[in-house]
Amino acid sequence: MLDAGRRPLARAFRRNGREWLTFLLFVGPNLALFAVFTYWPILRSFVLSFTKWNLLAPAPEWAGLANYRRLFADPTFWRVALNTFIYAVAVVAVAQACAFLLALLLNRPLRGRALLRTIAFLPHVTTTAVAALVWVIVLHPHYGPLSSLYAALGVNGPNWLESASLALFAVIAVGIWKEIGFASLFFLAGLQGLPADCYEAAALDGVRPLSRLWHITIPLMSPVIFFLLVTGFIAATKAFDSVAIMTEGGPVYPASSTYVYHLYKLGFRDFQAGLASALACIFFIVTVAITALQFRMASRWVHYGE
Amino acid sequence: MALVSCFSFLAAFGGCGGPQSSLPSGSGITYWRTLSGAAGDAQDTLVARFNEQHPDSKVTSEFQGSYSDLATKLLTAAAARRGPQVTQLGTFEIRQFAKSGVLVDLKPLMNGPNGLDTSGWPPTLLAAGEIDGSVYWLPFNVAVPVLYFNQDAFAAAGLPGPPETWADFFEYARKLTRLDEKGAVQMNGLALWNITWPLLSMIWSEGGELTNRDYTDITLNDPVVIRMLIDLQSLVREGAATLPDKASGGHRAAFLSGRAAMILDSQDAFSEVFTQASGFTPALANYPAGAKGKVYAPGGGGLAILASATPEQRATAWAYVRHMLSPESIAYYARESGYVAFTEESRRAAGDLLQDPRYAAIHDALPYLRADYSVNMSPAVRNAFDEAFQKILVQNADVQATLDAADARAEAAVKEELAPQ
Repeated sequence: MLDAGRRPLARAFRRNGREWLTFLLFVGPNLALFAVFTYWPILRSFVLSFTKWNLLAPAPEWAGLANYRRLFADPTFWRVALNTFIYAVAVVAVAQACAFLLALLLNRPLRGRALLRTIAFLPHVTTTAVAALVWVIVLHPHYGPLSSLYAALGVNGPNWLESASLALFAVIAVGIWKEIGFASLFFLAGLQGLPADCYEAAALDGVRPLSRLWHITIPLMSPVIFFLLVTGFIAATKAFDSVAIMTEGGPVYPASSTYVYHLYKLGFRDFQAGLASALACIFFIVTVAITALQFRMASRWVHYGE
Repeated sequence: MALVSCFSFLAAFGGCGGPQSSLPSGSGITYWRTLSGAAGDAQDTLVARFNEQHPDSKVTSEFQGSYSDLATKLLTAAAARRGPQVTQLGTFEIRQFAKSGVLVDLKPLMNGPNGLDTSGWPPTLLAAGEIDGSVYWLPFNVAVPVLYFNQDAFAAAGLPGPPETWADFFEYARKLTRLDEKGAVQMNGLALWNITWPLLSMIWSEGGELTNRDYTDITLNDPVVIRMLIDLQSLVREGAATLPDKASGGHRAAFLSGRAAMILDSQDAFSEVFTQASGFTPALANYPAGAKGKVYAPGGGGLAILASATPEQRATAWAYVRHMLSPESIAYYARESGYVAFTEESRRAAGDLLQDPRYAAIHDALPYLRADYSVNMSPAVRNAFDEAFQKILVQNADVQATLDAADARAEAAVKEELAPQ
C-alpha cells in the first residue's frame, strides 16, 4: 500500500486501470451533474457578482466591488440578514426542542403509536406552499380558527399577516411546524438505536429519569442533534416559499422578507442579476463559515461513542 | 345575457367564414398570457378562433400566472434565448424589455402592407408602448380605475350615491364605518389595495406628481402626496380604512364579504364583484374628481412580439396581434371580461354593451386617462413609494419623514436602474 502510494500516478493508473475505470464509471455521472448544475453556477454567480447585468443585455458590464459596497450600505440588506438569522435560530431551536420531546414520547410503548408517528411526520411531507396556505387560513383575521379562539376568549387578537412586527413570526410558525416532523423522525431513529445496557446499568444504580435523560440520552444522541443542527440551520436560512405565499416580504417590505426571497426579488423582479449574485456569494460564504464554526464547536459536546 | 353574448360573438366573426390562412405553413407560435377566469377564458376563445382561420399556423396559448409572474418567466426565458413569440405584458416592464432588445419594434409592421391603423386609438394608450420613436407594445386589455361600493351600506348611511370629489370620498369612508357596541369595527368605510396604482389617480387628480416621465424629477414628497397620505393615515387610525393583507384575500375579499363598504380598484375586478358579492348589492362608479378634475391612471396589459421569433414566426405573430386587436376581438373581450373597448370601432362592434350602466361608467373613464405610465415602468420608483405608503398606513410612520426618505432612495435607485448597460 505504501509502495503504491509512492509510485507515479501514471504507473498506478496503468496497473490499477480497471479499478480507476470502475471508480470513474460510478462517480463520473454524479460529478458531471454536480459540475453542470452546482459548481458551474456557483462559479458563474461569483463572476456575475462583480458585474452590472439585467439578465437581458447581451453582456454583463464589469462593476468591480460596486455591488458589494451597495449591499453593505443598504439597510434592507441588513434587515433581511437579521430576519433570516431570527428565522433560522427560532425554527432550529424551537422545532428541535419540540421534536426531541415528541420523539421521546413516540418512543414509548403507546397505543396507536404508528398512527401518531405518521401524524407527526405529515407536516414535513406536505409541500411548503400548501402548508403556508393552511397557515394563512389558520391566521385569517375573520374566518380563521385562531380568530374564533380569540373571540371565545373575549379578546381582540392581533392580525398576524397585517402587522409589520408579527408577520415574520407567522412565517416562523410555518417553518417550525414543518421542521418538527422531520427532526422527530431522526430523533426517533436515534433513540431506537441507543444501547439498552446503559439504561439497565443506570436503572440498577437507581438513576432518576430526568438525570438519565441529561447524562445518558442527550450525550448519546449528540451526533443526531449535531446533524440536525447543521442541516436544519442551512435549510432554514434558505426559507423562501412560505414568505412568497404568505407575505411577499411585507406588509411593509422587508418586514418579513428573508435573504433568499430578497435575492429572488432583486434578481428576477427588479432586473438586478449582478446585485443578486453578490447577495448569493455573501450567503454562500456566511453559510460555509457558520457550518465550519458548528463543526469546530462540535468537538466540545458531540460524542461519537469512541 | 349569455344568448346575446353568443349572438354578438357569432355576428362579429360571421364575416370571417372558414379558413383563410396566407401565412407560412408550419409557423406555429406560442402566446404567453396572464389573467384567469373570464378574462383568461376569453383570450383562449380568441386564440381558438385564430387557429380556426389559420389551420397551418397554430397559436398555443399558455397561462403564466400574474403580470409579475409572467414578466419573471419572460426574463429568464429571454436570458436563455427561449420563450414565446407573442406575449401579453403589463406596463411595468415594457421599458426594460424593449431597451434590452427583447421586443420587436412593431412600427414597421404597423406601417407595412398588412398594417394596423391606430389613428383612431386614444394616444394615451399608445403612448405606453412608444419608446424613442419605436413601438414595442400595443394595448389590448385596457384597465381603468373603478370605485366599487356597497349600495346597501350607502343607503343605511344616508348617502345619496358615490362620492363626486376626494373630499366627499374621505367623508363617506367615515360615515360608512360601523362599530359594534364595544367599539370594534364591524365594517370599514374603505379597504385599500396595497399597491401604488389606485393612489396615482388620487394624487394626479389633486394636482400632485410622483415623477416626470424621464425620471429626472422624482417628487415622492410632493405636498399633495403628503396631504393625501396624511388623510389616508387618519382614516386608518380611526378605523374608517384598512389595508388588508394580500394572502387573506386583500381589499377585494374585504369588500366581497361585506367587511368594507368601498374599494378603489380597476374594472379587472368586475366579474368577481358582480358574481361573488354576497349579502349586499354591489355597484360601481368612476373615481372621484380632485382639484384638477378627473385624472386617471391607465392600467391593464397589451401585446408584444419577441425578437427571438424567426421571420416565419413573426409573420404569424403579427397576424395574431392584428387578430387580437381587431374591433371585433376587442369588443368580444370587453363584453366577456369587463375590460375596456378602447377604440371607436370596437365600441360600435360591441353593440348594446354600453346600454348597461356599469359598462357605460367604465367607458366614461376613457377620456380622463393620462398619457403617463412612467411610475408603472420604473421598479425603483414603484418599490420606494409602495414601501413608503405601506409604512405610513401600517406602521403609522411620520408621513413627511417617510416620503423624504423614499424620495431620496428612489432618486438613487433610478440612477442605477436607468444607467446604460
